[in-house]
Amino acid sequence: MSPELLTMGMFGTLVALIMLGVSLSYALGGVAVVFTLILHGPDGLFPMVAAVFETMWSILLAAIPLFVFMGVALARSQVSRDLYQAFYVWSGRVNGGLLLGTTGFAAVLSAMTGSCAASTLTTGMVGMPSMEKRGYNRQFVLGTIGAAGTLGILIPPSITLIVIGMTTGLSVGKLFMGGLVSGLIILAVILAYVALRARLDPSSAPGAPVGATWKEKVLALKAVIPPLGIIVVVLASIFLGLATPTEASAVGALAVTVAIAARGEVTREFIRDVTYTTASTTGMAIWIVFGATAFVSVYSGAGGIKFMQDFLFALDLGPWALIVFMQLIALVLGMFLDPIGIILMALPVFYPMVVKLGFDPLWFCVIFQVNLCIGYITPPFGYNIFYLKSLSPETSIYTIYRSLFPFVFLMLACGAVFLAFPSILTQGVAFMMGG
Amino acid sequence: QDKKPRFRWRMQTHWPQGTWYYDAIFKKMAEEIKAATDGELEIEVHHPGSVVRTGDVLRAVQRGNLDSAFTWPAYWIGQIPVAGHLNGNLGTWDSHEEMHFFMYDMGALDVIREAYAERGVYQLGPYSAAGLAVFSKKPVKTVEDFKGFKIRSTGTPAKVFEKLGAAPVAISGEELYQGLQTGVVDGVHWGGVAAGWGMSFQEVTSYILRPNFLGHTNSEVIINMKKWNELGSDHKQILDSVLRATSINSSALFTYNDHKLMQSFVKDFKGQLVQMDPTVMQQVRKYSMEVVEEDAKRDPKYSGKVAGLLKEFMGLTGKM
Amino acid sequence: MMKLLAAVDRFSLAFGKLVSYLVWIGIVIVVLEVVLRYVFNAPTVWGPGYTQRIFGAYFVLIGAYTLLQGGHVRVDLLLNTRSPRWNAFLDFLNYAVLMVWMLALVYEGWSYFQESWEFSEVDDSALGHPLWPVKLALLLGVTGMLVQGAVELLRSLVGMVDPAALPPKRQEVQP
Ligand code: NA
Ligand code: NA
Repeated sequence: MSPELLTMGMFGTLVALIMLGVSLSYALGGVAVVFTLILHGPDGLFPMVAAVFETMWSILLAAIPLFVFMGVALARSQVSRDLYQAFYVWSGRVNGGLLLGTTGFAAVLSAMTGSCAASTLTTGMVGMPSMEKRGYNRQFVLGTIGAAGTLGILIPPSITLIVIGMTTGLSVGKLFMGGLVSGLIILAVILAYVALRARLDPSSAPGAPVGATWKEKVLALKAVIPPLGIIVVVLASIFLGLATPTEASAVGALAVTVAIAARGEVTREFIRDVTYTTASTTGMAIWIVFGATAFVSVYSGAGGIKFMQDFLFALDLGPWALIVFMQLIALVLGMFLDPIGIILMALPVFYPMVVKLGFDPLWFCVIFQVNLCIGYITPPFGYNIFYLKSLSPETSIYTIYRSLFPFVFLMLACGAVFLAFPSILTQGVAFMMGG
Repeated sequence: QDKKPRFRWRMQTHWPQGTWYYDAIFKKMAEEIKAATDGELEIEVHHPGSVVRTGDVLRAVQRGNLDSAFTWPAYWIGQIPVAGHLNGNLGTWDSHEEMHFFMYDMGALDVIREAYAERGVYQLGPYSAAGLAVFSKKPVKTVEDFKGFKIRSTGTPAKVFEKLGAAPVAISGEELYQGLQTGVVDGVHWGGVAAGWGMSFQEVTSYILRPNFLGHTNSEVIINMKKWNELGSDHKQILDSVLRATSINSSALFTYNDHKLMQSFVKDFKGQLVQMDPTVMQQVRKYSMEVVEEDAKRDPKYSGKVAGLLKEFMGLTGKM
Repeated sequence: MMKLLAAVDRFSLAFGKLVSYLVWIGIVIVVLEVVLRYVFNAPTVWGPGYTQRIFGAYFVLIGAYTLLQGGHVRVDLLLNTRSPRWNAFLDFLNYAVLMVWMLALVYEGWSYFQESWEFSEVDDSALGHPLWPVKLALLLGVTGMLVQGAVELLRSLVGMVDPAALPPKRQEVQP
């Protein structure tokens, strides 16, 4: 089979199946099996099972269920509600204050969990009722929560950064640092936008008529201590030198459990709920890795990756345009695919090219990751869109798309700036790592 | 040169694409084979994971998913214990010649080939990737200094370090840089200096321990048995010769780079080359042979035979 | 037949729930390793090896449970339409593709396990413990997925013929 035919056949079938509602995981695995049978007959099936074992045996991926666990446990506990209360009390009488507080809350939550599900859904569940009560514009609120929720995979810990580390061999610690730097910048941009929009249109986000007293404010701070403790345990143990990411994830899971137990909330039902939900959430991510690893091994084994690289080089775009082009591909894939699937399919093609062109691979991967975050809020397929819909079922999907549009634009602008001025990320990471 | 190849083989390596040695050694060997067979045997080079994950390359070669592989024998010690001898044991051979005569002239390779053949795989032979160097955060000089030294190590070297009083830690390659930076481990070996350099260890360690714990660590070329038997004796001879030449080239290039990079380690990274006390290597030799004996008991048929040869080698070269 | 299918569901569900507790064992092992290293300066050889074994088994064995929970996400542009027959057809397609993959994995997974058993394969770290249990977990995991997928495939066939015969669909959103 010629590489052109192979590429069109495999990706064409994949896209068709996904559009027909076949689970991404099954579509990846099924297409891999069919094409390996066409190419090599039954003898070719062995790499399929090897792909599953590879995923099972990766100690880095063990961090995924543990970071998921932290998110699920926090979502189920009053810890997050009390934390939100602190942001609520402190948000005060400023227009848009509550939405700024909600954004900050999402960022703090992101620093405790590895996926966007917990940061987006929990923020929505705890934050929306009070903003609703105060008459905030629903679209404004949904858009902000959807965008701030994407920080769940950008601000470390992050399961997608772990998969990027596994795929490229880059240090997960450095990737986490890159995620932190870019995540804080994007957080600042979101906050600035929210403040500005609330100022220009106060009716969309009216401030509280009466502010909280100082006593209330100080008392509310108590709720901030356990989450801060958890963040310090996880991030400090990675960055300052106690544990590997996998170890930090286990220590973090334990810390969350202890913090929740200290409040007497660890009931038998809580344990059951957290255990089962962690399993099904992890199952979703890991089985996509199973499928994507199989898909990539068939495609690459038949010369597909080399063909793609030669093809991209032959476009003769020049190194910078090629880098931009690759990031654009990530962005377009993000509209339709799951981020883990994108990493496993695109990075084996892109990464060696980036190295060969002499660009900083960490810089490239962090921007790639920002594009994956944008994919969470770009139509038609985006997890955060799906979560927002479940938070506000009566809002039409098109209204949700529209509410997210300004944030997609903001995040794109951030990505473009990171791309145009590499030193923002490289110096930022070097500065933080240097201590 | 435009002749259509009679044989086209897929060969996968464990070396990452984008490294200098991927091109300068792996790809070059493929090109040399093609040139020497007048285009009749063409090797299609594949990067790690291209066809199958690295840990399953042996099975893939056995079953024909890959025709051949350019890879690291220690991956198979769980299935073919004697493969560890191909890699080399700490404190044994010092020079490429020593390694070479042990394998080819004392007959170690013949025994190892038998073990691979049992799995339907032809063992073409070793190629050296220079010495085994330890990057460290601590200036380890004496046997005493190894007590509690947390070193990232796997396979038989880990057992030797454990006997030496060190605490071997088995963290994954992706977590290594971080692990060194943060003190999860104090030291690490990842091939020679140049290979460790590729992992950026120079940024997070202050010392390189001298001398190398082993003069030459070997990788291997393995071939599906059916594919090997399809070849005529002319092509077989060419493969043997090209691999021997590759081993010399590879060893020389890596050693050259090791020296240049050690210079840079001192000059540009303010690192230090620590000369270990000679008693350390004496102890390493002793423990290494103990580990060899232990493994020989578990696999008398192959590891036992090679262990006997190795003992003979150590006496012959005056190391024990 | 619907009763038999429901029984398989119950088994997969119970088994998945049981397996999902492995995450706690994993947490304990990893935290213990950190404590042993920092407090006692005595990292273990078995810690990382058994972390890999526990989570490896966990990953593959929660597949069927995830399926039952509707966790293997799908793009729902054409899903949940008004026509139950069309929906059943898309379900059929979904599980048919899963079957293709799982049949391959069960077929190869058997020899993968069997070879490991036959050659008494051990891992390549200093630990050197048997690998066949992990490969057995792989075989069990994909077999469970094959069986559960077959159940759903039969259901979708029924749905294409007589949509009224099916129990209502589970659907949930979980963080
Ligand atoms: Na996060
Ligand atoms: Na999207």
